[in-house]
Amino acid sequence: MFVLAELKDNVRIAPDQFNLQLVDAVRDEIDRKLANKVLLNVGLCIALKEIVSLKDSIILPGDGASHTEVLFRYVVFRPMVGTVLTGKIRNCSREGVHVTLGFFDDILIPHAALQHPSRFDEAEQAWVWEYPLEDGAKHDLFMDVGEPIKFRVSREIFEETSPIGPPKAETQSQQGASTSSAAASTTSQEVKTPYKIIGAINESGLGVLSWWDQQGKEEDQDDEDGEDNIDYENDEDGEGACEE
Amino acid sequence: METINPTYSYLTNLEVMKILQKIKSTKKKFGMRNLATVTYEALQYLEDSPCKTQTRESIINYVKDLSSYRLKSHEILQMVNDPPTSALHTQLLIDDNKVPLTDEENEKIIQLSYKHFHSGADNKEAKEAKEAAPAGKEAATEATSKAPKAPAAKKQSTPAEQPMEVDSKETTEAPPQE
Repeated sequence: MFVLAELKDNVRIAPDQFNLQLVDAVRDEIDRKLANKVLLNVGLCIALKEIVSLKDSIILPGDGASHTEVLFRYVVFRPMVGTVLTGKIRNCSREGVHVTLGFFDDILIPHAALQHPSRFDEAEQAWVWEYPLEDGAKHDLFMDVGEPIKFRVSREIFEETSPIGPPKAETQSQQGASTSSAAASTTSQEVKTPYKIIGAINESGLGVLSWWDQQGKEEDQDDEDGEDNIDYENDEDGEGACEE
Repeated sequence: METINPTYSYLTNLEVMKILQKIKSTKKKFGMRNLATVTYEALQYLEDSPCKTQTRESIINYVKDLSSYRLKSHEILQMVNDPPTSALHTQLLIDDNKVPLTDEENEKIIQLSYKHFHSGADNKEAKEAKEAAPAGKEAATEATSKAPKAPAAKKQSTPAEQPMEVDSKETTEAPPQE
């Protein structure tokens, strides 16, 4: 889930920090720059682990600050594709289920990767897993906001977000008093998420934790029902019933 | 900014938690709001996860014990971060492309996670399961029924290795409750 990334950067130390030890000043400067930011194709930066090496500091003409090339290792959040993580449901929309880990929010489980069959309940604004019972009826399992959920990382998407280019030609044409508001609306439409994780829960064992917790307690009563359920699960996986 | 190596090494959740706790304890001055935010939020997540009961030593011993189960290193890392408590759970953390674990192996791994990481009340249950295991098939069934096997895990395992009575007891794909 977390990795160490080795990075190199030129760190500028302003003169007002010359009273500090160089290493401490550099540490602060790196954390100030990277913490809680996404680095393209690296992941979400959390905190500095260690400094590997410091090169000689340079003073540039016209600038009182010192510049030092630093090689360092940074703690980065970047789960491998295939990892199983536990988060909380942030909200549900037609698109799918949005999950948060607290420090990282941009996780989407698209509706195609939910348990099958699932439907979106407009009134409750929640996805519902229609768990089929053996007598043909179904048991609705709601995915409510705030519930802990286990999911598998199926894809990661990095997107270049900066720098923000000049406003588009259309916005420029609508010049006048509305310029600023128009520009504001276009930027809000184009908000990009630099790092997005696509998850999936269409496997047994994944999904809202309480779905699977109660198994142990239930199982005594369900000895007889068991076989039907197994048939169903196998069918879902398209592998036929190997129990028979 | 230059990326030398985006994945220099992997960290367990415990290591990250330790680093963050150290940062949190050394009060920093102004201008570090981002660090403070992410430290706080990540710590909240981690302190709510299984790694809060782990120690360096328990992980080392756990990994040592796991080494006999032909697991790949990323699988071990996942098991450390999220020690499996049921066979269904173990199966999720195992690569689909390789030969699945037998039920016995599955059961042992679960016992190991209990042994190393749940030294409180949970330990009792693990102990019971352990004592029961050598006492023959019947007892073993009892023990396994505590950690339910799911069809996903089951259908991959060779039927020959599975006693019939275990089958009927372990059908735990019970309609989950809300």
